[in-house]
Parts: sequence; C-alpha cells; structure tokens
Amino acid sequence: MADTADTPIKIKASDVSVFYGDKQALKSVSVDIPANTVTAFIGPSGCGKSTFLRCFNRMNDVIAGARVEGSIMMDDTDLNSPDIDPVLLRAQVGMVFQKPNPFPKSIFENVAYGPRIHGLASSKDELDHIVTDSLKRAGLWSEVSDRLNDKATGLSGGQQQRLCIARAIAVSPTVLLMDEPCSALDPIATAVIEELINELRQNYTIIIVTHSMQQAARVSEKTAYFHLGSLIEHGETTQVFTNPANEQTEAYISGKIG
Amino acid sequence: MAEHITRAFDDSLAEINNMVLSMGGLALSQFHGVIDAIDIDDTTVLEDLIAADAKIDQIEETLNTKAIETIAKWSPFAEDLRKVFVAIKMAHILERIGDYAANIAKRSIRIREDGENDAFAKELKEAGNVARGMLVDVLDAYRHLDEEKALSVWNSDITLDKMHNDINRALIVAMEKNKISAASGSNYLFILKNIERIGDFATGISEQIYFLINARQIEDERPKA
Repeated sequence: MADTADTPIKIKASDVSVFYGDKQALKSVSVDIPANTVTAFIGPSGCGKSTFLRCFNRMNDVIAGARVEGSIMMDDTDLNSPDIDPVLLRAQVGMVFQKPNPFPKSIFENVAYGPRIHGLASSKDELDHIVTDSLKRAGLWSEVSDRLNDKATGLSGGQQQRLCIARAIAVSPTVLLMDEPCSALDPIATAVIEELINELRQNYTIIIVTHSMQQAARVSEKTAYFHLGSLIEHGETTQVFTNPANEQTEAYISGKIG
Repeated sequence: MAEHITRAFDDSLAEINNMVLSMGGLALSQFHGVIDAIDIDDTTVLEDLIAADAKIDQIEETLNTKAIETIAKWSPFAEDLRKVFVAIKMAHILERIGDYAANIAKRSIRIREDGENDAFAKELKEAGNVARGMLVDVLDAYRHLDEEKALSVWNSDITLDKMHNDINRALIVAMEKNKISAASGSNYLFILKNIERIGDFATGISEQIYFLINARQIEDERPKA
C-alpha cells in the first residue's frame, strides 16, 4: 500500500489522556491520523485502543466518571470543545461495533433512520436515494434490494454488519470508527468486510481496532500499537509488521511473551 | 528474543533452522571431501561424494514444505518472517553448493581418466581451501547470527577472485603451450570456476545473514577483483 507521508492529516490527537475515575486508561497519546487511509489500532486487551477510538466521537462522554484530557483536532475543530454537539459529531464520525447491532426494524428503516433524524432528505425520493446509495456503498444492495421491508434481524451476521456500515455512512460521515468489526464473523463474511473497507478508504478516514494481526496487516496503511495505555509505536503498516522499531511491538505481533 | 506463546511455532522455526544447519554441514563436508580428493588416485571417494548430493536435495525439499506450512499456519511477522524467508534462500544456495561440489568431483574423475590429475591440483586445492574457509566462517556466522563475521566473509571474496584470475591465466597458458590437453584444461577451468562460484555463494549467505539481522540489504558494493 502507498506511503502515507504526503497524505493530509484528518485527526490530530495531542497528549490525550483518559481517566475512568482514578484509573488512567490512556496516557498522553499523540498521533496524527491521515485522511482517506485506514489506520489500525492494535494491542492486548485493556491497552487503551478502544478507549482512544471512543475519543474520536465522544463516546467516553456516556461513561460515568470518564474524563478526557488533551486535544483532538479533526480538520480545524476541537472535538472536546463544549460547543460540539456529540450527536452531530457522531454523524460525522460513524461507528461500527464488534457485534452487529441493527435496530429491530426493517432493512430500509435501519438505513433511513439517521438521514431522517438529521434532516438530510427533503423528500421520499431523496431518502430512497440515500438508502439505496448507502446499501450499494456497503456492498449489500444486490443481496437485499428485493426485500427492503424485511426485518434487519433476519439477515446473516455478515449482512447485518454491512447493514450497520450502510447505516453509518447514510449520514455522510467523513470518519468511520470500527471496533473489531469482524470478530463475530466467519472468514467469508470477514473477507467481504475487508474488501469493503478497501473500497471505503477512498471516501472515508477509517480507524479500525482489531485483535487479528493478519487483518491489521491486510487492511491498514498505518498501524498504532498500544500497551498499558501508552502508544508504543505508530508507523507504516508494512514497516510495523516486517521490521517494527520497538521490541514490545515485535513481541506482540509475533505472539511472544513480551 | 523471547519465546513464542505457542510452543509449536517455536518448534517449527527450530526445525527449519536445524534443516538449514544440516544442509550447511552436508554441503561443507561434501565440498571439503571433493577438494581433499582432488589429487588422489582412488575415484571411489569422489563417486561417494557425488552420491552425497541427493541427501542435500532431499532436505531442501523437506525444508520448503515445512516453510510453506509454517507461513500458512502461523503467519509469521517481522524477524520470524525473515527467518523463514532466509531459510528458503539459504537452502537454495546450499543446494547449489552441493551441485557445484558434485560437478567438481565429476570433472576430477574425467581428469583422472585423461591421466593428468597432478597438473593443477596444487593451485586448485589452494583456491578450494580459501572457498572452504569462507564457507566454514559464513555457516558459523549463520549459526551464531554474527553480523561481523558474515561481513568479513563478504569482504574477503576478493582474495578468491584474485586467485581465480591468476590460475585461470596459468591454465590458458598451459593449454596454449600444450602442457595439458584441451579436455583436461577445460575440466580444470570448470573446476576453478565452480570453486570461485562457491565463494560467491558464501557471500550470498553473508547477505542473507545481514538481512536476517537488519531487515535490509547490504548497501555497499562488494569488493571485486
């Protein structure tokens, strides 16, 4: 994959620390996330990677006792500014979770929900167009176009996850956060999602948390390795997986006792 | 570096490494034997050494299968990946050394049949011993991941190259002056070239060791005669 050295920065995190009560989950992490690229966050459970991911759409706000320090600039906006409406932010920074979580509604309604509450469509035709387009971008259209009114929960796990991606992109975000999006999927459904990520990178800045080293190596251009709340190494994925600069990174990706 | 959490992964890498070391030992003793036997009259030793090549080929095949299995099973990264990759390349180089040693043995037998086994034996033995020394050192450097030793072998090939050039000239003069037959002369030239190539293979192994340790190729130009 291409070198990201000349890619503009989409998100600039500086000295970000997160506390859950007295416990510090993230320790002064600074990182630049390049635009329209896939960045993988890797590291053992509890290393802070998901905590950090949740800083980008203020998901830590909903956790009682959570406190975020430092600055996260997305384009020219400070994400932690009190002026930011987290609901609007989450339209710009979409999220896909570990387990597919479609609403217990129809396939159509799952995708139409976001554009409707954000007032993105002024007519039924426009809403139809957004839903169709989002399902197409999520690579699901050909499988569901003749049953848009069926229950979303009747879809397979892989289809549900792609529906969640369609739902996220229906509100025209610029950033997609994915927290282990394939961990509940079989290898075929995983390959479909990975192929989708590969296509989505053209239009979105994607940050993916994954426990699969192979997946991180396959889908991302940049990789960040976290350990005990600290960012240990951040670099080009090819370099991180073939010649990591840090011994802790090497031990982790190679499955060694660090 | 630390051990893998999965012991079977360590075992696979160790098995591959042991196969490289075995191939190295076999290639070395084959070449060693061929050089030692270059001027003795009894050709049965040489025939045995030609047959020894099959064992090296067989280990290479097993190693390649094991390497593919290891990549498929464990998806090695970083140093682990280089280990597997370098092992495959080393095995190929060592298999070639075995072939060249066998070829030297075959040509030595033909020279005997022409009755000229003494003509250039001394010079070829000298060159052969230099190549053998390089091989001993570079295999030792692989065993101990000794970058300095690997680079020293890499830099020393120029000595063998110079010997090759000198002996090559002397052989052509001898052929021109009909001191040796064209048939024996050309066999000697091939033996000489094979010895020189084994020196090149030793430097090739040096390059693999350097890559294994540093994750990049040697950037300098190798000194050449």
